[in-house]
Amino acid sequence: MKKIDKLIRFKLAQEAKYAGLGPAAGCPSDSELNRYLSGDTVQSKKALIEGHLAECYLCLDKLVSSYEGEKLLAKRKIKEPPKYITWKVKNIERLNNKISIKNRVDFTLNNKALPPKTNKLLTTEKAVIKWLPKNLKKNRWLIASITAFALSFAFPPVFLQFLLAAGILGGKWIFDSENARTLIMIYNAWKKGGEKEAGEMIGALKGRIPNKK
Amino acid sequence: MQIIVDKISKLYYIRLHVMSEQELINRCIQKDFLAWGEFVRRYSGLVYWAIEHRLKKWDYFYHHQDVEEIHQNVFLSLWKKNKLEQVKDQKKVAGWIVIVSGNEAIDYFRHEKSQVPPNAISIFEEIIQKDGAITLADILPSNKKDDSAANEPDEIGKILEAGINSLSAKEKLILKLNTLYNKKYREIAEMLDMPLGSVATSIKNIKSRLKKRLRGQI
Repeated sequence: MKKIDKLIRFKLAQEAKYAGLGPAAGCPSDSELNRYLSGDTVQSKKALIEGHLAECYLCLDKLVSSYEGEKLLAKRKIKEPPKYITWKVKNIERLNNKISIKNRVDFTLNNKALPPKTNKLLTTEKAVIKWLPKNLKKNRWLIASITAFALSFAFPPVFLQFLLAAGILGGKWIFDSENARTLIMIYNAWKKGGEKEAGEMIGALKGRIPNKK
Repeated sequence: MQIIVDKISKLYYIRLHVMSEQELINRCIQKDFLAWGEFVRRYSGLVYWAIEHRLKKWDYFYHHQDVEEIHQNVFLSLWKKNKLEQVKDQKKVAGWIVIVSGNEAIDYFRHEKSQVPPNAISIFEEIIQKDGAITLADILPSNKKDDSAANEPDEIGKILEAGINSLSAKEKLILKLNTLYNKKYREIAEMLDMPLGSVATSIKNIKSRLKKRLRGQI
């Protein structure tokens, strides 16, 4: 490092030391600082913030730290914290209140507070089931088939592949429907035990069709 | 049916993975629990890093449990106090999360441990100790190191102070980032949203002006 650089650095560090790190009245808010860092501030405001940053070591330090954090995150160089810490904050609503230090120690030592693996899935299921309207769920294969059919026209180079997919999905829709499944079951019963078996199956299934003996 | 639900769940998770920050924030504000899970996945590490970074930089003596507690406090304040409302219209939130986490760390030490923030950032202390140990007299050329030059460092300091004070706010900011924080030209350009060339020219100009003022002293 050159002499002049050392001198400047020393002088500025001395100034910073005596400036203190308490927040001043004119400090921009955290979101304003972030906006400035994202280059999303209007010119007039930008000049004001720069004027402040030149004098306030607290805000300058915040700006530098947030820049460094952002860069590290973008480069994926940030180490993940222990899993149970992340789990706790993920389930913040379920926990309702902060976990006390005692509980946290129990958690760490015994791992008893770990949620069963299905918990996450159950929440997901509920959300997804709520998210999908009833009819959409019922006719999902049909919708998928139509979409594939439409896409076959949208992407001519893969026309045949999409058409095939549309066929398969359509077939899935047909065989997945309740009536088709009933027919298959009756057919299987008929194959196995003839008309008598099939009749019994029909009666057992619905209780509506009279059993011919 | 179970398989289908699983598949759809997976699709929804994939969608969350590629969701823009803004959309994710909006969903968290609307208390979408799945979006919150994704938000935590994305930023848990960053929050942890930011807390440790601030505490180290500000020279606090801390324990691993303190960091955990602060980490939890940060996410609690984001979820329960709906702090995310503050950045719902912003393109990037990572920087804001770092600032919020750092603030939470300082608040924690102030309230839970009754420790006030230090006067200076530890890196500045290091500079003073390191550069101060060699003293300005060491920086001075050998022909200046005689008894008559006993007041030289003070004089140089005053000249330098006047020189720094004469700089514009932006120049001062660039100088601080470059010398105090050791930031490269490219980094300063990114931080201040300036062209790289302008940063390089500014630094060169600032230093040559300060050198001119100090001419004859060093």
